[in-house]
Amino acid sequence: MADELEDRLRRGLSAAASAHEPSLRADAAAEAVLRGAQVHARRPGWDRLGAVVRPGPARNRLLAGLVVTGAVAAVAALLVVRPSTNLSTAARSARSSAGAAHSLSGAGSGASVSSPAASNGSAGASTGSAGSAGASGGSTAGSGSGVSGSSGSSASSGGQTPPPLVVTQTDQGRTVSLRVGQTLEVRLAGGGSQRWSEPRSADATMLEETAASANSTTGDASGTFVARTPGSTRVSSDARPICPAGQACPDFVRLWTITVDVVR
Amino acid sequence: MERAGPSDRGGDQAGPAGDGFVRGLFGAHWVGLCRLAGLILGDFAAAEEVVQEAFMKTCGTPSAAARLAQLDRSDLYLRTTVVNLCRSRLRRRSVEARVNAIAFRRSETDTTGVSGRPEPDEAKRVTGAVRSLPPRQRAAVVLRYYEDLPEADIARALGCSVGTVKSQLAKARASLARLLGEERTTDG
Repeated sequence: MADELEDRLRRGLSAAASAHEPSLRADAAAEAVLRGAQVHARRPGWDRLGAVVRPGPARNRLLAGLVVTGAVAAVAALLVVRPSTNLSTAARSARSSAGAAHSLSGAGSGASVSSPAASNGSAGASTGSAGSAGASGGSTAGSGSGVSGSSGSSASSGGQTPPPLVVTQTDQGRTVSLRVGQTLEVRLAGGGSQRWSEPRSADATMLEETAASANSTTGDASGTFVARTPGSTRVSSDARPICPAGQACPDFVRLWTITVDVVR
Repeated sequence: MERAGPSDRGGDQAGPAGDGFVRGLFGAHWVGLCRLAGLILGDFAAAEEVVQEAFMKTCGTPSAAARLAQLDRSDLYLRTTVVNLCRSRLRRRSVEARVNAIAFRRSETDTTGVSGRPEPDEAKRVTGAVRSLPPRQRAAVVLRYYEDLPEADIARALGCSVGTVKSQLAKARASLARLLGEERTTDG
């Protein structure tokens, strides 16, 4: 009888386990962990976004609050404990931020990947064409190459170092081109609601970091890189929400990465 | 948790504690640990989160990865971490269920659904019965009958004595025999 039960347990558990494959491949999960981020499994009603939603700590905080203040348990539970409400809210906020990045990349590529001169309104003819080339060139690699190509031509005509290229959080996922010696400025605005980490170059020999800072109060982060050798590398950062102590909070991680092609 | 950039991680050239070591661990244990956690939690989507959390705790930083690489059986350490995280998540979930039951007047047994392919009926019965066990008994049963671990290894993974494991397994078997026996009687 006992053996029969044990056999049944072995067969049942084995069959249940083999019916499930992780939705995330091992290499993708490894990459996420190596980056210090956690990617969530696909659940019904969830979208896999560039942003990641982690409900655990928020629930912990809420439950701790419930133990201490039993009187407000029902109200607090309405905010966080019910998984559908909490997770969909967090996913919505993540989706809206991802969507905002998308729409900006389509509509304003010339403005977001631009030289400071262009954004200041004091653009010469060559930087003006950089903006328009980026805007008409599409939202991904085309816009990046358009920007760098125009700035390169301005450099060759003027015989000077190309102007710094500025990227912001709306350029997430883009590919930008730099000439050797050109400076890349990364400006990530937290807006007081999310805290960006210092942007990092994946290859410091190709794209040397000359300055990086992150403001823990405002959440802003910036970094300056100089292209040293030709090749392709990535610059990445991540943003986490700034959560006031004792309040329920969606604990998401928003990943930001751009690809940088350095050419001579 | 602070992000460690590739430049300060050292890469594959840094030896066993480099990225290659972590990727190797993932390749070897990711699927198995996800399934183990899925059986304990009864939720295979949450299982992936737990396993990632375990990896982040054990090798999320270069120094942690270096410590893990020095262990003879890093897989055992990982498995223990996964089991402990599963148990703490189960405890939290039981509190949530009680609060939800009060707040939303719904049944405490309304647990998170299982994702993935539909399980065979027999497997569904067994996992359903296992899911009704308390966290420690559930973990002990999965480690014993899915992972086929000896009682000493289960005790190590659960952080208790062998005697405790024996008693937990005995209680679990009694509960499961009753639950699965009742189902069989009902079906018959």
